[in-house]
Amino acid sequence: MSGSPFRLSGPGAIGYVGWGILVLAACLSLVVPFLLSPYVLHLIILVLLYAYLSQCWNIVGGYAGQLSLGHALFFGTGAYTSTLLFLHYSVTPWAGMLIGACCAATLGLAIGFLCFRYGLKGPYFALVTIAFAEMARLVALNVTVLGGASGLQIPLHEGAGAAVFQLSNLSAYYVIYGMTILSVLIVNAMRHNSIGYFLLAIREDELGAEAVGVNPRKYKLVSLVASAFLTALGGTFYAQYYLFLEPNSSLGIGVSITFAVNAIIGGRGTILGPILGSLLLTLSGEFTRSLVTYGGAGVHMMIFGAILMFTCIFLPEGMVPTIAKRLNPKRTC
Amino acid sequence: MNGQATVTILEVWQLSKRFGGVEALSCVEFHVCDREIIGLIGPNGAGKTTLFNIMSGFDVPDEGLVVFNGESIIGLPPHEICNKGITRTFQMTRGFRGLTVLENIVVAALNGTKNLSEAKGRAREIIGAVGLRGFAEKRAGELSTGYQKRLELAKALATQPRLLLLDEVFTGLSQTAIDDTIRILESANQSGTAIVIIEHLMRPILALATRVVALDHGVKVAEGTPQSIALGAQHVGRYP
Repeated sequence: MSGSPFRLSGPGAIGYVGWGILVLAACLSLVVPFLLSPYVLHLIILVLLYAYLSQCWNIVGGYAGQLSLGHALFFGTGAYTSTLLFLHYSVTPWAGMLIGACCAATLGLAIGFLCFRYGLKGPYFALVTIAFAEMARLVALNVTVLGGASGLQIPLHEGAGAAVFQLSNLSAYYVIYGMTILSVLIVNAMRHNSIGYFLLAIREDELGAEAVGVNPRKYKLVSLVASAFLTALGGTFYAQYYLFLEPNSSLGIGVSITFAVNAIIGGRGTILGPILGSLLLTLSGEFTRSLVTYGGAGVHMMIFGAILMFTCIFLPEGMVPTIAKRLNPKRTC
Repeated sequence: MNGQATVTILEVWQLSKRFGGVEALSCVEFHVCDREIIGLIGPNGAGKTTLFNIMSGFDVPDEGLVVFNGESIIGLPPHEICNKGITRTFQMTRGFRGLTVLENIVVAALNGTKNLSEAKGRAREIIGAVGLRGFAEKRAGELSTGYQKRLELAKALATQPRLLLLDEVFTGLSQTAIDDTIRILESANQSGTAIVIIEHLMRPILALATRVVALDHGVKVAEGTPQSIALGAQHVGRYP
């Protein structure tokens, strides 16, 4: 019954209902931004940006099951590369985006090769990814060209194709919107290709996968490189949208954790998971911040933490698998 | 099996493996002919699974050689050995628990083809052949032990092995399930797969194997027809 309409869950499938929701949301979201206030539009851009980044993380963290907690490295590499090229050589962010992504992919290749060659798994892989991201953060903090602790200001610049990102929220919205759709299409294509089967098999049982002829090292590496490449594209968007780049908020561990947590809360290894996770966590993060406006710095983080705990306790597999079970209790998946 | 099997597809030469002070295998030699079914028996700790681990690339021997189709496979990773045509099953089944039964078999069927629809087609054939059709959309983790063993067998068959290494696929099965499995293996054998079976139950060995190799404490202690070995084993009181 591969055509079951409620195949929201299953290993990565989203089914008719899932696609229906996505297509409807896609159509609505083409029109709606014209009607929204700049602040609400900014919120939606944030949701989309983190949905995109979590979807990228999902390739390696969700499908291949390799818990990376250092994706900020790829994000920051993309952001810094395109920004430096833009500042010093007036390279359009569009090209900078791709160059940054290639740099991040190369880093992913090197780290993945090291980790998978020596069979690092689970928490050990996570620790190594954290270590590399932290190294990059320390480098960015201490190298003058990279702006050091005070960061890099990106001047408004009408030329070089940067206006799309910088001058209006509306055009930035369409850019990140396109990127998010692209990430969904890529992950969906991957899921329905042999590589998707291999990644899931590796996640479920690496030895078992090897025994039936799957090369785990190769496919884990492919997933990490692809994920790094795409994550770096998001880094450029971030830099151009905020016009400011600073080590802690682009290379810090908090950034890596955000990508991972969005996907895990939403349902890792599902296509809708990172999107729903980003929707819930980005909005509740912003909302709790607005609740406590003065005098209570940090209180919003406590409320945010409570929301996280709640979802972990009541939605242990993530939102998407849990909802799918509710919708169709007869299905055993 | 019709007539004499003549072409040797696998040769094991002087295989030794130590774990610390324990001699898991010492100077074990045997061979497998094309389309042959061999029973590998022996008490717990005899070295049967260690032998499988080495033959499938999950372990390397201290000494000795494993030659498959004329080339040494020592040092090759398991997935390459599987690509070359040797597939093993595990005593503790290793299903992809979160995937459906069909998806489990599709992963294995992708061995040797990159074409997903071809692999899906083969997976559907195999799922019928092993009697798991009704469970196609169930997650592997939800199957009972008996069906997990069937799934393990189905995955191994889906890789289209030339040589199949089965580690206790009969243990824990009901009588009817044992008969079913015997039939499945007979038909796989008829379509050209040689099989080595590790098993404590003598019935499937007697039904399937044309030759039996007995290990004890890492040493090959006997080799011969199933009947002669069973008789000898009874004498020493290993198999009631």
